[in-house]
This record gives sequence, C-alpha cells and structure tokens, in this order.
Amino acid sequence: MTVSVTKPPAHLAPIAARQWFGPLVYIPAAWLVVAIAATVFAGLLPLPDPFKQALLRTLQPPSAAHWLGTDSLGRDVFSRSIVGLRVSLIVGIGSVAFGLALGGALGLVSGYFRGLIDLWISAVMTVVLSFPPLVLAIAIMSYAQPSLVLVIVVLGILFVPAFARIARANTLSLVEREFVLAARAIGMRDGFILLREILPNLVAPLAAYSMLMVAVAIIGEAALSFLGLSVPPPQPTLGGMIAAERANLLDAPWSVFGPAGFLFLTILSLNIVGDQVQRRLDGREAAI
Amino acid sequence: MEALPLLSVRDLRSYLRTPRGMVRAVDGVSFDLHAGETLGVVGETGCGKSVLARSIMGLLPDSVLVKESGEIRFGEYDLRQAGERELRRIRGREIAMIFQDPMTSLNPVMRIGAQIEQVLRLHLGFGARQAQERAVELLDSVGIASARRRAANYPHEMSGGMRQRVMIAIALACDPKLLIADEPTTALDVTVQAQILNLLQEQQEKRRMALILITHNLGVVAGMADKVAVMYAGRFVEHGVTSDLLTEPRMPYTAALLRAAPRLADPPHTKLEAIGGRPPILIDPPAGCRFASRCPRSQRDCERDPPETFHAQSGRRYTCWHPIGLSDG
Repeated sequence: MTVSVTKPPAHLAPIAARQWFGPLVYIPAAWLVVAIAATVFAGLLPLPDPFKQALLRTLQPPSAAHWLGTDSLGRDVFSRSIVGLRVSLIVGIGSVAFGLALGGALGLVSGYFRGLIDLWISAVMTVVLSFPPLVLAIAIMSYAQPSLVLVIVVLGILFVPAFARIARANTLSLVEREFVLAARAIGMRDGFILLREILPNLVAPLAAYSMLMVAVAIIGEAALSFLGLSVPPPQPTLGGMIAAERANLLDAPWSVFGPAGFLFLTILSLNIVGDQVQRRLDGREAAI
Repeated sequence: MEALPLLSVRDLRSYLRTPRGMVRAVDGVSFDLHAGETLGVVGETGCGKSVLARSIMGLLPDSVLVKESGEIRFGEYDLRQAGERELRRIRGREIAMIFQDPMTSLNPVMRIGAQIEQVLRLHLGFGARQAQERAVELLDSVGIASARRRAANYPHEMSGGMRQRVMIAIALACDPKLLIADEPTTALDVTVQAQILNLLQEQQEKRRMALILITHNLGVVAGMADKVAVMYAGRFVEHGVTSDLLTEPRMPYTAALLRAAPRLADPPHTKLEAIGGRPPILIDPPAGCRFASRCPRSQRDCERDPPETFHAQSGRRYTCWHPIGLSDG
C-alpha cells in the first residue's frame, strides 16, 4: 500500500517557511563568504606573489599558472585582485562601522532629547549632506597624505548623516511608544532608557541599511583609488588596478576585467543579500 | 481618629502645551487615599484621567508641561517638590504603574524575563542570578503557566492578557505601596478583563497596596473600588464611597454616566441614553459649571458661576449647584 503525501499549496505553508530566503540568495551570500575568507587567508593560499614583477611575461592571457593572466608588469592579476579586494572590504566595513557608530549615536541622542541638541545635530548633518560626497572625499584626500585609515574616516564621515537620520527617525517614533513611558515609570534614567530600551530596537533597521552601505563604500573606495587618492601603491587596490591597466583594455582585457569583475560580483552580492536582509527584518518589524 | 493617608493630593493643576494652546488637563483635583484602599477614577475620554496619573508620578515631560501646581504628598515624600533623582527612586519601587495597551508597553526586542529583572536590579540591587529566580516567581504569582519557559519569550509570543500579566508582574516586583492602573483592561477581551481585575484585586489584598484604578467602565469600578471619583473636564465633579455614589448620584453628570452604561438586565433593543453635546475644550473652559451646556438640570446660575464643592457626610463631595435628590437649594 502506498501513501501519497501532497505538498500543501504555497498559501497554506507555514509563514516562517514562506518568509525564508529564496535559494538564489545563497549564491551571492556564498560569494561573500568565499571572498571574505580568501582575503583574510590570502597569505596562506597557494597563489603567485602579487608583488612579483616578471617583465618578460607581461600581459599574458589567463592560464593554469595565472588564472586571470598577468598585468603590464607581469604580475598575477588574480592574486592582486584578491589583495585589492581586501582593501575594498576593509574600507567598506570600516567606514560603515565608523558612520554607524557616530551617526547612530548622534541620531539616538537628537531623537531622544529633541530640543536644542536635535537642532544642532540636524543642522550639522544637513551641512554634511549638502556637499557632493565624492567631491568632498576627493578634496580631503588630495590635500592629506592618503592612507588606509584616512580613507576609512573620510568615507565614514560621509555616511554619518544617513545613519543619523535613520536612527533619529526611528528613535522619534520609539520614544512615543508606551514602553518608554513604562521604563520611566519604573524609575529608569535617561541614559539607561537610551541604551537598554531604545538602542536594541534600532539594531534591525540600522543593520539592514549597513549592508547596502558597505556596497556604496566599496564603490567610493574604488572611485578614489581609480583617481590615485586611496591607499598608495605598492598596495594593490581594485580601482588602482583598473586605472593602471586601462590602456591595455583591448590587448589584455583580463587585466582590467579581472579586478572589475571582483568589484562587480562583490557589490552585486552585497546588494542582493542586503535587500533580502532588509526585507526580512521589515517583515519582523511588522510582526511585532 | 483616622490614620494619615498614604497619598494626599491637594488642588493639583497640570496645564499642558499643545499646538492649539494651553490645555487645562487637570484643573484643581484633591483627594486622599489610604493604604490598601482602591480609588476608581471614571470619566470619558479626554477628561484628564491619564494626565492625573502621570502628574502623580511626575512623568509629564517639561517640554509639554506649562504649569503644574498643587500638592502631592505620598507617605513622607512631597512628590511635587522632589527632584528627578528622588522621583526615580520612588517610581517603580514605591509607586508603580500599568498602562492601557499591553501591546506597546513592553519592549518588543527584550525577553520578558529580562524586563522584570531590570526593575529588581535597579531598585533592589539584585544580582543577575537572584533577579532571574525572582522574575520567574513573579511570573508564576501573576498566573503565567510554565513561568520559567515563558520568561525567555519575547512579548510578541504572548497574548494581550498575558502581556498585561507581565506588566503587573513588573509593577509588583518591588512591592509598591501604591499601584496606578491606567485603563488596565480597556484593550483586552471581556473574559480576560475579568481575570486581570481579579488578579489585581487578589494581589492588592495580599500586599495591602493602595490602588488607583482609572477606567471609563463603571462596571469595573462598581466591582473593585472602595471610593469613586467622577472626573469631568479636568475636575472631580463627584467623589464618594462607591455604593453611595452609584446608587444615589448627586451630580447630574454621574447620573448621566450611569444611564449611559448598558445593563445586562435590560430587555433587548433598549436604547442607551447618550449624553448630548460634547465635553468642553479645555483650552478655554466655560466660566461657570463645565457640564452646564449638557446638563438637563442646568439653570442660569450654572452657566455664570462655577459651582462650589459641597461636602456631605461620609466623605461625599460633589460640585454642583443643583444636585439630584436634595431639595433644590
């Protein structure tokens, strides 16, 4: 005797199952995991030395020895791309962390206390927002000595207003919720209410946004390094590699499309995963 | 000789800033409350009940408070003169409060156990372990089954009634002398309402705690309160022992409220008697009696002169020129 089990139609499936990510999200997520792992453990991988020049073997097409060929100085494009991606990821994550910490704190304070503090913080944020971001970054980077930390801080500052606004807007609505009044009614101090009651409620909206902003930061860093305003050579950066090899675009497209492809896949993956995370967290908000 | 009251409020006035102007939300309220006693405060929406509760707790933010005057004595404390520091020590420990909507009065991203532990650690200096144990005991005592497992739940995993029980557990955590319940059952199903009210009553008796029960449901008041205050347009228009007040209302507003409440014994399709008109806007309240324009007994003097408060026997007070049931004076 056989028992046939039919799957229930989709609209009857448990909500948790329906809300789960579609399978397509796992591909970009996997790319991100592999990319991060590769950049962290680049030194341990059996890759050609990214700095070693071979002037007799320049602009070689992809082969078993050089997966993405060599550049105009005979250096391995694949291993240079991985080392360059490391800079991209450090800058991306670092500057977003900077913007998140500073912007989140400012938004929290201005949304909770309102009044004069709010006015001042909002005014400063508006001023920062009114600069064209890349122009501001280019201006600062061309006067200062470029370094990894400086790139992180400059891009980080550009993210502060966005995070501050999100934190402020969410705080404004949270403060009106009765649980904040309830917290005051049990004798909690303002500082406690900010950190223990409101901040945990900001994690979801800020986290979702952060992922998307990492992608933006990576593009920003690539633009700066294309202009030679990011981490100085000999450190490879993806933007710097594209800039250096762009004359060979027709003869040796791999030298440009290698780093460009790494950039493209990483940003696309961050956006897809970030979108999904945001959607999921939104769903959770609604359930609450 | 009566003992000193636990809470004594004298001529409390709280004027609030709104976009349309200053609202006299609480405008001269006085009452005494003794330990273990229940005061029911009834009145329609917007009459100042919630503002009164928040005033007593000192919870109205300076940004909306234009003027606050009067006297609030609680035990040895003078709450109106107390600084924010002292008030924080009293809130949650000596006076606790529960709110109307249990859906929003718990933090959505914090486990309910942690929310109870918070109070214990704040006021009683409990350690993490001790607070955890006590939180489970409290949950158990407010009638939450398998409390230990439930303590790990988030608020959205619980029903409204259970959340209100959690709120009560938080409020009772430090054994307060006074509990202010601001419409604790308005957002709940009728069957759950009864459970919550029974729980409040049972805990109150166990702890000899005073209770201010704010509601617009006269049935709730009839079952639970020792004394009732009827609030209208920022004032107590009638105040007295529950049974007297409900059977023999003096102030026409009280009588109108009683007639407007549905009764189970009524035959089907009985029309309720709505109170015509609407309450005055408290930005610029009328000069005379604030109920005059809606009052069936109003006469010319009502519109002109604000009525005095008359004191009758057994603590009965009413603010009316032409009270019901007495020969018109």
